[in-house]
Amino acid sequence: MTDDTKVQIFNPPNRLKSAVDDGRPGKGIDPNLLAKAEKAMEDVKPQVEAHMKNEVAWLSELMAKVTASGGQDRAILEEMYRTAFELKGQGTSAGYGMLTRFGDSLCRYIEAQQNMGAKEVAIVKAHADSIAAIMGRAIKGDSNPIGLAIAAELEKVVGRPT
Amino acid sequence: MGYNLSKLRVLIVDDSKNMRMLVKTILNALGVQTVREATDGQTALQELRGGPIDVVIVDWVMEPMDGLEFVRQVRTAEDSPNTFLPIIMMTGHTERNRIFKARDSGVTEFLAKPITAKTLLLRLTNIIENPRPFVRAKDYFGPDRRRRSEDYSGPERRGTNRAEGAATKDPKPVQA
Repeated sequence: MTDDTKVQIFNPPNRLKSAVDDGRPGKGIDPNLLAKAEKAMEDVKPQVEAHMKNEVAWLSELMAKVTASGGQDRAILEEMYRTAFELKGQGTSAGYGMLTRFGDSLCRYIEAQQNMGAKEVAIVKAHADSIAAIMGRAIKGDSNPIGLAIAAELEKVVGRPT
Repeated sequence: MGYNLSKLRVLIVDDSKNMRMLVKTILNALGVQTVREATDGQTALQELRGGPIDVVIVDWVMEPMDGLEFVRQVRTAEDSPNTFLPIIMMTGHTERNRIFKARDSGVTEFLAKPITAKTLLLRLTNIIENPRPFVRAKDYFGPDRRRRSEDYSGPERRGTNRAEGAATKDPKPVQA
């Protein structure tokens, strides 16, 4: 009979440490490389922004379908969730911190709804319209006062992130 | 010691071309020269069999094989190329229950989206400097899920066998 409470612990050798050791006396990587990486992220922002614009346009198309179906087409809502999740994950990388916040709120709202009626569709639309406005007016960063006020109101309905 | 990441071989697994581009951009700027890409867990497993990889950065939601199943396959499949492979899960799912679920699949580190160069570097540094021991229990194989700060000097609380310096795919633990 085996003892299910037995736990085995392994300590594999740390090959990574020896692979990256450059012989310098300092610790970690050259700090200039981190600055270089941050600059490289800045340089690709236009590409990420172009992708975000496509996703926002797609979200608006999906919103029209959600409205037309009265929120009853689960497949469209799932695609809307996927799109909002993409905005959440990459909005800030494109310089649009508010896209990350509204995308997160929309994801959590769609996920929490078992059935949608007119009121729920209106809340989804408030998210989609806000997202379209952020991109349409090129509202960058995460501190636009109107955006913050709308986000705070929506989060009263959706609930705060856990 | 100082680090030079040029010899590090990293596999990025994400169905978003844009996300792969972002991560690759950061890695290249940090000095990583070998960056391979895959679009889901299935193709990632094929990539792993195609040559050695030191670190995997994997997204959660992908099709046909998602990030969780990929991690399980790497940790427990009979034909896994490296069950001890460091795996960073990069995800927008930051709810506690989901993090626990990913942790229980055998993830080494989490990287919350949106990512930054600094957070990615921190996770890589943690993997290099503080590799976790691996644990085999009745229903789990993967990095120790307890943080190292939990130093405990009291009596042994459960049966444990230790294996120091295990290097092979399925090393035999030293019997206590």
